[in-house]
Amino acid sequence: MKGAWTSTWVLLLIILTSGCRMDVLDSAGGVAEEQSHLIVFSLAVMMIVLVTVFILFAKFIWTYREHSKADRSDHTLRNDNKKLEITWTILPVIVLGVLAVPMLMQTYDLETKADRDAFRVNVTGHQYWWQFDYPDQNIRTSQELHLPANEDVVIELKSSDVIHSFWIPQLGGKKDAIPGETNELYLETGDPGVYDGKCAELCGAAHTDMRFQVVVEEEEDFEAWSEAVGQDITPEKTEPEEEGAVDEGERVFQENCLACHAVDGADKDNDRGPNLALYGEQEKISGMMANNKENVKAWLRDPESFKPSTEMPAYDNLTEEEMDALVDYLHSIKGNKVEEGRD
Amino acid sequence: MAEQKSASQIKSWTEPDDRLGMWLFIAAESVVFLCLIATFLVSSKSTLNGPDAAELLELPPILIPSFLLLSSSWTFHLAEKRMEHRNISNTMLWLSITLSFALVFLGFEIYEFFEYAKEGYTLSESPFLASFYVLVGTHGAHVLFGSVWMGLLLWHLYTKRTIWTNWKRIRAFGLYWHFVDVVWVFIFTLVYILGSQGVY
Amino acid sequence: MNSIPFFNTEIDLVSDVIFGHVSALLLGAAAIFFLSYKKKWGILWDWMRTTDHLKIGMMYLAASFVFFLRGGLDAMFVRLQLAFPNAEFWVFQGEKYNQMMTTHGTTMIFFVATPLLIGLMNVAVPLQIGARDLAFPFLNSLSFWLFICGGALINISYLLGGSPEAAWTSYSPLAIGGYSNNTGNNFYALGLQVAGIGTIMTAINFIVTIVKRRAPGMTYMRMPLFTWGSLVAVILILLAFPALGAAVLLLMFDNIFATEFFAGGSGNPLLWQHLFWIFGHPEVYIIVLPVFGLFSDIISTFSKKPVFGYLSMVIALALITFLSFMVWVHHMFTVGYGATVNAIFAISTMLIAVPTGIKVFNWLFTMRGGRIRFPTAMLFSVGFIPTFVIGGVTGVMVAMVAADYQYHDSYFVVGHFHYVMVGGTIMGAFAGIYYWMPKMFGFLLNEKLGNIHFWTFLIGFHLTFFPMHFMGLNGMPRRVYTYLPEDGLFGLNFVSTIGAFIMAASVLLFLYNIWYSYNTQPNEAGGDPWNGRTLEWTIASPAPSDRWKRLPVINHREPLWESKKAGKTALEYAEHEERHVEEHASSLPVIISAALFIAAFGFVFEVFSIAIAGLAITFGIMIYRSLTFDKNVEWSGEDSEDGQGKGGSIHG
Repeated sequence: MKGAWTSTWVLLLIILTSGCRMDVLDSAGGVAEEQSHLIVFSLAVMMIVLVTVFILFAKFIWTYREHSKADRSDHTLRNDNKKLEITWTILPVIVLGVLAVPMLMQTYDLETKADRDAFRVNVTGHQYWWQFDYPDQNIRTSQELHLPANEDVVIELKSSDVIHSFWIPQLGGKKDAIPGETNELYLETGDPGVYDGKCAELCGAAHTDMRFQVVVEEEEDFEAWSEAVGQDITPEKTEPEEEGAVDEGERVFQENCLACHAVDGADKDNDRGPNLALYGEQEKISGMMANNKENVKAWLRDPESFKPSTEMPAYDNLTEEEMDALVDYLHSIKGNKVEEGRD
Repeated sequence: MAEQKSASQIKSWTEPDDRLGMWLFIAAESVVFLCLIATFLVSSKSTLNGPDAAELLELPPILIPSFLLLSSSWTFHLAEKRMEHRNISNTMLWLSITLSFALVFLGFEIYEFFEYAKEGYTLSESPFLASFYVLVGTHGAHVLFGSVWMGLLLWHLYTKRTIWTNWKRIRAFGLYWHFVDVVWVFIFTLVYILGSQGVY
Repeated sequence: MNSIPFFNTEIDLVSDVIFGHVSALLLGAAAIFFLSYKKKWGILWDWMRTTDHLKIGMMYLAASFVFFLRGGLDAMFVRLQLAFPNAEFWVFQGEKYNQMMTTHGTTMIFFVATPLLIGLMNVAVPLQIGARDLAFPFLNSLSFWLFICGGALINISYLLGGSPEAAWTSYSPLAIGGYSNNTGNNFYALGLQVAGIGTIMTAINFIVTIVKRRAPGMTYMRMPLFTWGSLVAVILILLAFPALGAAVLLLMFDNIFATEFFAGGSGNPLLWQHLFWIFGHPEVYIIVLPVFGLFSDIISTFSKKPVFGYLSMVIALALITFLSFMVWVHHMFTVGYGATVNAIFAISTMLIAVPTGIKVFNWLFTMRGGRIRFPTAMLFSVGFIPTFVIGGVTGVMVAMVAADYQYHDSYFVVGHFHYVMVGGTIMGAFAGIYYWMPKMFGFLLNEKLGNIHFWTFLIGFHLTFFPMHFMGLNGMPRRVYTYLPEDGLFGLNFVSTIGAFIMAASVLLFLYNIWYSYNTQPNEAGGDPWNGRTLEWTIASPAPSDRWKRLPVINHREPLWESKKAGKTALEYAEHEERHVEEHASSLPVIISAALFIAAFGFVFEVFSIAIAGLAITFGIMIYRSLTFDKNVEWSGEDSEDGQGKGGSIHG
């Protein structure tokens, strides 16, 4: 018995000490912090139960093994004991009561806070990407969620197809995005930072890859960002101009991508695919891999290999030059370019 | 003496086995119908482009079949009573009446479904219609199953004058049949009465 | 991609599907060759037609073990795919991963855990209460063949157009409207429907048996705890499985007849979740309550002491049964119900910890003051206690709703329920098989191999599942087929995969142990190899076919132990053999199940002529059975006479 336990625990310790992160406990905002406190508190209380049982377990097994000389006269004939049985009925009730109080307070707290006047984002889950609408700023983005720091946030969740679940482990618990219904999730942001977001409810073949990045930034940075996102720079949906008339990359985009993607947050018509506002500034493609030229090209040539069953078709028909130009164009969509373009 | 003893033993354990089994089967069936009724209540507002309950359902046409089905519980009870008095031919008579009531009910229901379908109110039209068809149809399937069962009972009664096994069969079937009727009371109230009055 | 059209779907000619077909063909050919070569067809036919509870129990165990290997193979694929970040093991990414993960879950819950326990119940319950057989032997056989039929449907899905891929919970709208492979979803709905009907019939059968067929003097308060656990579990089956039946019926309508019960927008996706979890949560207790009883019996036997607090054990079982129907919403904490709903269900869930705690302490205090021996059956029971307590405390943690917003649908939950299900049900099944092996086959399993089996299983188990809690706390969602190198999940997953391999080796060792022990027969196990206390140890091993010529008369909770204390060699038996009905073996259950298989096949591929033909055969055979019933039963017992002539018995 003991051998198994020891070896298990030693191995686990090795793993734990070899740089194991725990995002849920490494909170970056008020809600997540309270939840992590509840987790640690319940774990501590439960450890008392666990240790009690383990000690009794080890003691009885050792003491009353078949050939031990332990005195059994007290116990052999006993097969019930009212006092003991009442003890281990009452004690767990008390322990559960101790756990229930903070749990109830926190559960109700989360709900009442959600009613408060908070920063709002409307989130829509799609197979397999996230769309973010900022009603107050009147902009739309996707895949990268920007939030002002130290702010109460209410996320309004919807889905356009199947059930998704919106989860940013370091900012707080999750909530489902259900087609035909609207849910509200309350979160609090802390200091600036970049966090991972995930879909937690199985939503199809690329459920795994339905990730996003959360950028929490200072108020003024957020203002600047939302200003830049809102600049109308998406090419017109007219016939592409002759070669050379406009930027080659923009022409390729117009021909191939414009039917589904917009490149600024003011355009809300092209919503079959993720909005690519400020794509050049995004750190990751789809929240999954570094946003560099090689990766974007690989992605465009064969999106299926990164996101199984994605609706995005493969663009392996583009020439190398067209591909280069397209990626350059995409990477040129940045805040400063937008500023320049306006002048 | 020995004969009497064995006879009482048969009563004490063989017969209640079947009855208890039947009761348990009914418990399971009740859960199925509860789920389907819950589905109906949940789906009843979702009529999409189709009709809602008040448009679809009318009370008068369903009154006669309902009356017949509920009476069939009573006629079956009479059959059971005749069986207790070992009056096989009267048992068969009342059982046949029960069966014919059930068949008339089924006929009405099939007619009703065809009428709706003719108006284009099919299963896939809306969740409300789907839940209506599934709930009422599942009950109808039970009536159909019961009718076939009654046919078999009649055959057994006709071919074998062995009272004891047939008595067991009648008793087990009785539970089933009364249950099917009770379910209809709920469906009639929840679907037809409340539905036709526009509660949903 | 090459593919062969098959009814309304296509079979893709890709490596994994071809591998599946080839291995199925090879296994089938090997089985046919073996049966022909050893001239075993007759024996097989006898077993297929049997209505004997012991034989059916053994077939349940064997069949669910085969499904266990299949579900285990799926698990190995899953673990291999997850061993490294961004790994691409064979084809198991995306849809194929979802298919593996779904079949693993569905198989393990419905075709392993549940039938393993039904198998043990079939073997032991009638022996423990002194019943000649179940109340409805024909129905028992039918239940078994429906379970086989359902399991076959789920298992062939991979070869015929794709397995279900919406997880074992099959949440809508993912499982409908073409969001995932429709053929697979139909296989799921029909497979579970057919197997579920069989399981409900089993429940009816066991309740009637336990209520009506106990030996004289075997009062409820004298029943062994395994029988108690089985009784409450089958009551749960009776009330929970019909909800699943209704749910998969509606799912089938959505997929085959284009209704929109569960569709997003027009229908109600949460309706599915309610129906599913009203069944799903009791299911968890269905597969753990008999095991609770089993461990009580084993711990008592090998501690040489009666169970501590028998009455409170029974009360705890009843409380868990009762509470298990009012906690289902804890699976839906994140769907957006208000704080009040969530709080109520959180509290009711936490309350289950109280009766469970009572049971744990009662097991511990059963051992206190005993003389504890550690044969393999006891090792599994003892290993179960700390394992289950870990699963229990994480259970309380996930019940705490505000914190559950973090745990929910993460690997923390995966870790939690594997601790409960593998640590409870699977270890319980192993314990039960080691314990009752002599009653089934007359020989004991080798203890040395058994010891190795236990230790490797325990170590492999903890290595596999303990790290999962940390994966969840590090933000790894459930049902993902890979993770990124920068997620910091590699170490944990790698250890977990190693653990899975150790468990797999351990299971193979168990199979070897059966083969080895069968060949060497190390002990001619007598009727009572464990120095037992309950009724099943009073008869010979393997249990003879006329087990209770005359029924035993029970005067005590531990009849065998009492008679040992009194220095008697045998129990008291009733003076006369009571009259009872004996039903002959029948091939009808196999035929009915085959017909339902055909019907289900027709529905899956939406070929309604086949479906209707299958249903027609099914009902036709039921009518045939009704017409021939009297010929297939026989009256046994001392004053045997033609019972059908007893017209006077109506009023007794």
